[in-house]
Amino acid sequence: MKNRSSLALIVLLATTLAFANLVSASVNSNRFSESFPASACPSSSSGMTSTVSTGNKSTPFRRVAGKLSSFKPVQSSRYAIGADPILLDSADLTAVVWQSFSGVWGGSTICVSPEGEQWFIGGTGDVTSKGRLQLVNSGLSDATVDISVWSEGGEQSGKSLTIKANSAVFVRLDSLAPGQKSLALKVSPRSGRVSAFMLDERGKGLHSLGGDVINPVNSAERELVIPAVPQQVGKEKTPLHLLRVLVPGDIDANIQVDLVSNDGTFTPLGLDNRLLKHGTVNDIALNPTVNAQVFALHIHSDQPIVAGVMSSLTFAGHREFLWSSSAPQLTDMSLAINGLDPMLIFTGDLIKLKIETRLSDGKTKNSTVSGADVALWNAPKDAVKIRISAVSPGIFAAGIISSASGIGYFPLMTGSSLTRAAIPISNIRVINR
Amino acid sequence: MADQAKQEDSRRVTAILVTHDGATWLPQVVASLASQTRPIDLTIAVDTGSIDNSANLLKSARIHVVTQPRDTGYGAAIAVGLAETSRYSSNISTKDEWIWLIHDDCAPQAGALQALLDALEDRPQVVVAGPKLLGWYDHTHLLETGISIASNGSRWSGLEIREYDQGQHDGIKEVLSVSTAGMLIRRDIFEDFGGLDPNLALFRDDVDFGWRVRVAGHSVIVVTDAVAFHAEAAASERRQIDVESTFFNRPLLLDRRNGAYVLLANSSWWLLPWLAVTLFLSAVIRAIGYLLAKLPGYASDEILAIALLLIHPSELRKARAQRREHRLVSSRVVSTFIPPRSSQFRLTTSRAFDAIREKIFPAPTTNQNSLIQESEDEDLLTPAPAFKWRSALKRAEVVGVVCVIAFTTMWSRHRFGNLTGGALATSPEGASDLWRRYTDSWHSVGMGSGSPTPPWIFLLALASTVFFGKAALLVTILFWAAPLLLLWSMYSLLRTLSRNSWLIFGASLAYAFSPVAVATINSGRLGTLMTLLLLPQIARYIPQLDKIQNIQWRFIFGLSLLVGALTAFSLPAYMALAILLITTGVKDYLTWQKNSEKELFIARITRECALLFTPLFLTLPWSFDAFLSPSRLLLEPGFVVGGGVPNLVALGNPGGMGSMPWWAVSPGILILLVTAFSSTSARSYAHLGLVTLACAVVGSAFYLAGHGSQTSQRLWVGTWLAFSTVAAVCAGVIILDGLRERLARSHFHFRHMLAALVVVMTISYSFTSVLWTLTQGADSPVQANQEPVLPAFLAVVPGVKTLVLRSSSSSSLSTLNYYIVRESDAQLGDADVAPADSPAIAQALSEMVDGSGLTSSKVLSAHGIKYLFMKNPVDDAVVRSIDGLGGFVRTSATHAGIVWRISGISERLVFTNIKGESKSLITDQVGAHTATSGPGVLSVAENFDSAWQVIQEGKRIPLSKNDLGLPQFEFTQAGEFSLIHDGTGRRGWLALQVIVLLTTVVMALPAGRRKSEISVQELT
Repeated sequence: MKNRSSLALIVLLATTLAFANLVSASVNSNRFSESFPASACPSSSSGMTSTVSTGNKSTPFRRVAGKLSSFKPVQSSRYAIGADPILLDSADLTAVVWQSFSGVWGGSTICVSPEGEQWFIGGTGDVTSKGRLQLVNSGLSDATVDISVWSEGGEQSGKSLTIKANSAVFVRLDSLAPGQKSLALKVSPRSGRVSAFMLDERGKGLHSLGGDVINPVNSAERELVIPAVPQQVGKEKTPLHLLRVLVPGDIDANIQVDLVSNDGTFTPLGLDNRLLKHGTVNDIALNPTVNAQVFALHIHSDQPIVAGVMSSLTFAGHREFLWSSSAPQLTDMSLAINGLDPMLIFTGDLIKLKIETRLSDGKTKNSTVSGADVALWNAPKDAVKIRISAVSPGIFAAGIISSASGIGYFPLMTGSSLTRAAIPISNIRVINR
Repeated sequence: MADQAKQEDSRRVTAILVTHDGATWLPQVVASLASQTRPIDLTIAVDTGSIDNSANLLKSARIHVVTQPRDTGYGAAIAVGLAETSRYSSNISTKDEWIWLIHDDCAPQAGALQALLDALEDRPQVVVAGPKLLGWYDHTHLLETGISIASNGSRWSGLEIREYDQGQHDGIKEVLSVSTAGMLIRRDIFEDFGGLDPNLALFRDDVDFGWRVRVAGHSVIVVTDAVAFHAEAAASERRQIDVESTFFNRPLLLDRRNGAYVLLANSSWWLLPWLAVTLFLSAVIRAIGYLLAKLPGYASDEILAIALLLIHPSELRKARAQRREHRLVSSRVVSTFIPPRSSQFRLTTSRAFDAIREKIFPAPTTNQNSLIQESEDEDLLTPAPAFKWRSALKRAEVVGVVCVIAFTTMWSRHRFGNLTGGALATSPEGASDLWRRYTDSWHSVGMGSGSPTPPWIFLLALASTVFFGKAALLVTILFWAAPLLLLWSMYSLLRTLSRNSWLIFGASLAYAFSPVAVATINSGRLGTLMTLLLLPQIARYIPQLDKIQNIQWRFIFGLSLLVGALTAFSLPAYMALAILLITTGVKDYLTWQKNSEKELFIARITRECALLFTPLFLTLPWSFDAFLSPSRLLLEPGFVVGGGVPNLVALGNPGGMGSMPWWAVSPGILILLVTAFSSTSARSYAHLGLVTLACAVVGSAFYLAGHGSQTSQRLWVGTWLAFSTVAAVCAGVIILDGLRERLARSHFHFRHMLAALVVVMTISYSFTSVLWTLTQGADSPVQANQEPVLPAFLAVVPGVKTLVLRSSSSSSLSTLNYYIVRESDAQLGDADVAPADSPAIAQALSEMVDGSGLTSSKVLSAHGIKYLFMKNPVDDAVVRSIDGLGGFVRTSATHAGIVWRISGISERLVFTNIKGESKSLITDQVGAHTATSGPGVLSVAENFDSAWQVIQEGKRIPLSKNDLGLPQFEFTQAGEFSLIHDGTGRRGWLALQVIVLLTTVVMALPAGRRKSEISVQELT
């Protein structure tokens, strides 16, 4: 009896503990802002045409160098970009840009929102080089960009540029690494909203050797997949492929390259456990005997690397080349492709995904892509945009576009990722150490 | 023999005995005069209207008595006595005639006169001599060996309080003066000087006369072979003072007035201003001292004495003129007798220390009734006990303290320097910064705040002042010494519960290194630290609440001060104590309803109310402000840093940053559970501990934002756990005291098992806590000399506002926080006065981050924010968003972070004329004095507050809010103007707080005694 109060207190303690555990839940007072940043599309230059598939006439856009900083509807599902790059607010719809020099070469890329850093594997600085790097600052403040350059001779002295607000600049590749044959570039914005695009155009005198847009890669990785390297089957000459690899770190890398095609998967001769010197651009000739129209390369390395493949082709009677870059793992995404009719190439151990195609007449067409190693899907002629969904894991993809002028490659990746930024909250602790 | 000596001595001595109600002492005085070895030639008594038996006593002793009115002054009485001697005049030369002034409470020893005359024998320059004065009752109590006057007007004897006469001051010495009690004066000189100054009816006439004699080129000596015993009846208020110039029978008033008069009448003219200031200031200081001692009468005497002198300047002028006539040498000749300030300071300090020492270490009381009287010789022969160092090392306290110092030093190895981190902000450079922060009405924190500064800043400023103004040093020492202080605090509490020093020391050690103490120190929580420190001191008196009606008011107010100090640091602690008091009050009310003992109820409830409300009044207006925002009652000083989960709290560990891991389980909870069923008083402690533990557990389930943060954090319940820990330690000591013997006497049963479990847990905790504290625990959030958040180049320009953005991620959550900083990182107290979030800024930042904020930079610059600084590690997406917006120009990107300059006029004061042209104006930190060029609008980039005022040509410009909610003033004309933040309200609150504080201190201090209340035996 005399211990009743003590027992009551212990019961009280146990009850409060249970109560506290019940009501205690992590309180998150943070709020977030989610948005798709507007993506920049490269401009054209003299003699070139540059068109972007917007997927929708109401997609907001603005010219980067325009006086107006507000967006307005593009009013066309296929917009011809002039001398100024444009900023496209297409939300989660990735716009594909087709660039061509009429009857000489063609190339494709996607519009991308500003990234932290971009790698470009390809291009040359030798006498044939007419290539250039376009840097677009779509921000309202000046931007500072560092350009790092590697070649077969090692790392070159880079360049730092200040780009005025709402403007774009071109940098010739032969000015970055004069006389260097094989280039790899890294564009690192120190400040500003900067998107970079690279064009590899070559010529010998007045004779064009072809050209292509080199698609960017966001980071160096140990596992790379280049989903689509085109083959010209049945031609007299065996197509020449050149695998270009850069080991940007401080340690040499051992790589193994698996060639995956519908004919099977194998490691080309000399690419099994091949040691690559770090800091220099390594060009490896690749001439596989494959009957498939297209193959993929899966590259395994013990050090982070960046890589691309240049394929030399003969197209409509003239020489053309195409740069295939590595692609990130495929996720659900939408792609604006009107007027382009691309062929999509998927690679992976087990390929399974759905594609919903919106046609120009407003109808929708659903298809399923499945297979192993490599699967191809050709877009219908009047497709405006596609939505890829239900993607099984481990799939990488790219698109190849052919036209009268040439052939282009673009990796299947989102041009603008959903950005989730925490909304700042007042807290005086930030000014304490 | 005496007659023979007298025949050889041609000098004639006339004793003048002035009596005034002196019947108490007179028989002994008369006897002493009669028994002089050198007989007095003539004795004349002047009775100034005694209403006792004095006159009859004198007559019966056959002494000639002259009766004078009751208000006759001492000097006037002497003059009457001298005139009376003419009736007995002889042909003797006046140079050989000496007057011996005798008080009716002063009894010279038999040889006193002889000794005085002997000393004068070969000293022709000496015209005044006096004896050594000893206490009337205590003949070893040295009263005076000559006297002087201090520069503040005090009577100066150069002796310590109740100095024991061991002959240390013996000899014949030149002095400024001697007391009129026993003063031997050559008659011709006395008459030549006109006797004692009639303006000095009583007190200080002796010093004045000695001074006058000195500047006339004569000498004054004290002859210690001549001894007189003096009762100091007038000064010690043993009899009424009726002299003409006194008021309301106030001896102190007369003494102080006369002291000032003597100084001002005799000093060199060029010293007068300095003396006047000194006299006034010392009077004020003494008056404050008397007020503190609850003697308002004496305090008023001090002030009135100066006032009395000032309203009669003609007296002083006249006195100075008279003194000029006799002055032959400079007044500076007396400077050797005026005590230097260092001596005054040394003596005052020595007296203060003696008083404190006697309070703390009272002298052992001798058993007066002992039958065995110790012989002094035996005492001297007894060898003094030798102090053995080895025995000291066997004492728990000594060993423990040494170990704790070593352990704490190792634990604090990263905390030597200016501490910051966790809940603790950087300490300002000096105490003056803390004082300014406390008194300012406007704080330049964030967008500015007029919130009242918490009173713990006042206490910290006070303590920093003691630490030579080094606030950082104080904080460093406080956190380093915290375990030692906690150990002492708990030890002093436990001494009241047990005499087993090893047990109570061990328990105090457990308290000093309890989970809550370790977490508190590691995370820099000043509030909980002070709670842990003060709580044991308060807990000593909690058991006495049962008999609170018997507790003295002085004690109640003392305890209120202690609780007030605790409240200043921790409102949660006050809340806990308030709940306890309110519970007691309700119980008292119910008891009163039953037994109708109204007086008992009133006695109890008034004391409880005093304890409950005094701390709140002491901490006004801060406490009032906290009650208006009740969530602040649960928050502690400094930054809001989250605590631990309820399960951890239930184990007595508050959790949060810097806390011990869960596996270091303290035995506290086990002790509380076990002792809850004890039959001893430990049970009450256990109940209190369990209740507070339950409160802590409930509290830890909630989240709270505050103190400049919109981010909710799990409530820190360290304060409640401090209560629980104190209760657990007390309960543990009570049950463990003598437990070993009890267990040894009993058969094996569950008590043995519980005791074993407690011991095992204690050992386990000791091991794990020591291991953790010395390793991981040393890398606490609070560390010294950490790199500041704000880069140096942004802290250069005073007053510039920088918005700091800082991202952090914890448990997969990425957060982005911001705050506006001016010049430097947050300092102590900033978080407590930090203003609420500005909606306009929050909106601008939100839009800035998502990339849509085209006007963000304009909003920020309108708030006077010049720079945007994003501290590393930066969020690249946010950086790109900012870069993409206009109005933010990058100025640097370093390892510290990225800085953008915000475009536009980002100043504190911006004037926009009627054409819409804006320009910045020069401003101080808070106010400004500048000019406008014409009509227009002045915007102030501070939070709106009705106390902002702009005054132009003596008129107040109307205050309004602009679109962003900032204060603005519309000018209709050009001209100079002053911008001020009106601090009248703040000053009013401070004045009230000071009044409450002083009143409480005075109420808490021991009351001083009037001299009339002190026994004569004690005085003399």
